[in-house]
Amino acid sequence: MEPNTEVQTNKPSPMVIVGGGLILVLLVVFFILMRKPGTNQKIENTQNNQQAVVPTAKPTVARFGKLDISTSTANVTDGQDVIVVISGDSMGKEIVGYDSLIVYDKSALTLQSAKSAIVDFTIFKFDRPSHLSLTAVKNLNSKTPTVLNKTPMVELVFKAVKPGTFSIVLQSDIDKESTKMVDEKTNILYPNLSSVMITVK
Amino acid sequence: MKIKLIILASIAVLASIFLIKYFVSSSQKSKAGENDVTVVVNPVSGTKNLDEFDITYVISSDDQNKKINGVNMTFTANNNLQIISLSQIPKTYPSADDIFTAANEPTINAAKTSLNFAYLTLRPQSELTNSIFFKIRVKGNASGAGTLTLSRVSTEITGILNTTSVLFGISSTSNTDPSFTFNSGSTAPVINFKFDPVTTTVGANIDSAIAVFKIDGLPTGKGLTTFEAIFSFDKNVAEAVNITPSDTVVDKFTEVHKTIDNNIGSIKLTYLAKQVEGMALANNARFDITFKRKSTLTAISTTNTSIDASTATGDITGTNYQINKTNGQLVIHPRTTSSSSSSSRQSSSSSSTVSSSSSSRQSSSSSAARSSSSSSSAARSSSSSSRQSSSAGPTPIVLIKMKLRFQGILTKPYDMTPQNVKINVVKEGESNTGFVETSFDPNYDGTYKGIIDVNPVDYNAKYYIYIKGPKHLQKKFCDALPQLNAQGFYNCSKANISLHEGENDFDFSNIKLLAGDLPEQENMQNGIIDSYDLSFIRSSIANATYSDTCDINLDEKCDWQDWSLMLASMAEKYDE
Repeated sequence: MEPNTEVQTNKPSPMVIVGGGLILVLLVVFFILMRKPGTNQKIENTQNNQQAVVPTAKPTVARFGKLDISTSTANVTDGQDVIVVISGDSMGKEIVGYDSLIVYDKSALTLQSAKSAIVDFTIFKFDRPSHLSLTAVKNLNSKTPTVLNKTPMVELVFKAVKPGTFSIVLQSDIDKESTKMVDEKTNILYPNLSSVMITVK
Repeated sequence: MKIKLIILASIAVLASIFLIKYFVSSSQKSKAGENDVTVVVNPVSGTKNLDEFDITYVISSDDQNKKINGVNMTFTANNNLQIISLSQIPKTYPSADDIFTAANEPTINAAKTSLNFAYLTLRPQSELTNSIFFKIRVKGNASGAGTLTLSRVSTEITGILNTTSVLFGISSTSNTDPSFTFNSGSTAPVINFKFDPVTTTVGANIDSAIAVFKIDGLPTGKGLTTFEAIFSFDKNVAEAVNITPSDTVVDKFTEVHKTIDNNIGSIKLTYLAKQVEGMALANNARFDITFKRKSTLTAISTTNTSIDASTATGDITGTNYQINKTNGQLVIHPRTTSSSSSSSRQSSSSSSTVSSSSSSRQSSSSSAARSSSSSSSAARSSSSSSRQSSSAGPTPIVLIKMKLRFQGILTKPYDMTPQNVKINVVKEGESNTGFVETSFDPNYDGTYKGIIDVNPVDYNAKYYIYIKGPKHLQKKFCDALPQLNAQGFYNCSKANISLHEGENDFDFSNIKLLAGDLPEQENMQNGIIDSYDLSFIRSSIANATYSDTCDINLDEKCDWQDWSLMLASMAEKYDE
């Protein structure tokens, strides 16, 4: 008799089974309901992106060549000029234009000038709230090939206005802009980038 | 003896019979030569592209007394030649009097290799001529040789010689079988005859809608010298009530036919270019065709506006453009009984105003239909207006007509192609997240005009309008008639544009849309002028390669002017 009693004691009652089943069903329904709005939101977001004037997503691209930022004035005193040079390596490609995004602490460094180190290029500089944007293009009449091989491209002059250690970074993307080079066949090349540290005493 | 006489008599009879037959025969032969006519074919040979062209047949006699009153002809196309049609029925030559009627309508077999037709006239002899002509349209269907052969056995050319009916023969010297060699390479350019948008809807609460028929897609630098389009629609469902040609059509073409036949459901448009010296040919045409529902309509009906026949010629090698047809579709709802209440909701508009605005409403909704995001634009405009949120019924229509000016285009552009422009109407306090794309047509002063509809609209709110041209930076407008400041700039921050029901006219042409944000992959612009844009123009000029993308001022050249415009735009660089 005892074994029978034990069996009957361990066996869950029909109410428990029905209750457990109901809980399971409710859980499934709950997850479905929780999941649906998320899915819809995703679709709406996708549609909005398609309708936007400017695509927000930028495809990942392979890096080609390099833009290197360097300085001979890494240690300066407050009020002195900091001279920074951006050099390029286009790995054999002839370059006719480029964009550079330079991020720096605007409270510590003030941009004084931005000049092209390549005679045949014209630079347009845009002092944006968060960065400096440079767009350069080779002059229309220039016939000289411009293959970059650690070639200085831009000379930037900042004035140090605050003590501390600050970085000047070549940034790959900011909002709609990107750092890139364009070759003579208008292929866009996204170069490897670097940064430099400045100490102001 | 008797037997001999009988034999001799028999021989004599037989000989007489042979002699008589011989004389009759020789007499007939000479008569046939006398009654021949000459057939001259033009062109009779040559090298052709794989395009349609006409072959002209002139049947004539030197004898003025030989009058032609009927032809029954059979042609066979051989090798790489196809018969398209009898493009011109027989007429008198050279006066081209239309005196013949079809005894057998032109029949072309399925393979397009044979053509038969018969035409005759019952006019009196005094009205007949000794020369007639007709044209057969043919086409090469592959490279190689092709001929069109006239079956002389089946051909009948009838007429009157003096007072006697005659069956004319064709002179043996006539070359009636033109032969051609077809090139495989070039064909006539393909252009578009299209309804854009395809579907036009006459809603339950309106009386009519405008279907837009366009001709475009011409190669760069080429124009139209003539065009003809014949449409058909279901006469039991709709009737065409008005056709409005675009300014380009009015200015550059002479109207030959602009006819509506609602009895059979047909429209015919035929235009000839004015070709005034020094005036460029038009490279596009547009017609707004207003369709109205049949009053007997009781259920939603759909009918095609089919482009049945169409031809277009231009300043191209060969005779005709090839035509890519896009038929339209009319969706027509029966009139609802609640229309009177909807009219009363439209505030101060009189009933006649409602009626007239209903057509333009459809026009704009058509343009909106081209946009992928018109609905989102509507959704962004919120519905705070109590009028908007009030129950069902027709939504009031708000149209925005805009006049723009693109940088570098100060007078009528050489390239008169309509430009796609992105528009976003943003309520003050909301963000600019999307756009409506619509087509802007050029005017002769170098400005462009276009129209969109926005819905719903808060009539109490103020709006900004963001505009971005196909190669341009986006510009924000806050005023209905913006003006440059003393420094030559226009920048605004406070929305000052109010919208009302019906048409809202805004002249933004005092402010140039700066060029420079060129379309890149998949025609996308990235919102800035960057080194790619500059390098693209530079390379196009340096390599002397033309593309629509680098032609900023639409003069069909990529040159230093485009370069200068780009450099000037670098003062801005970013979308506003």
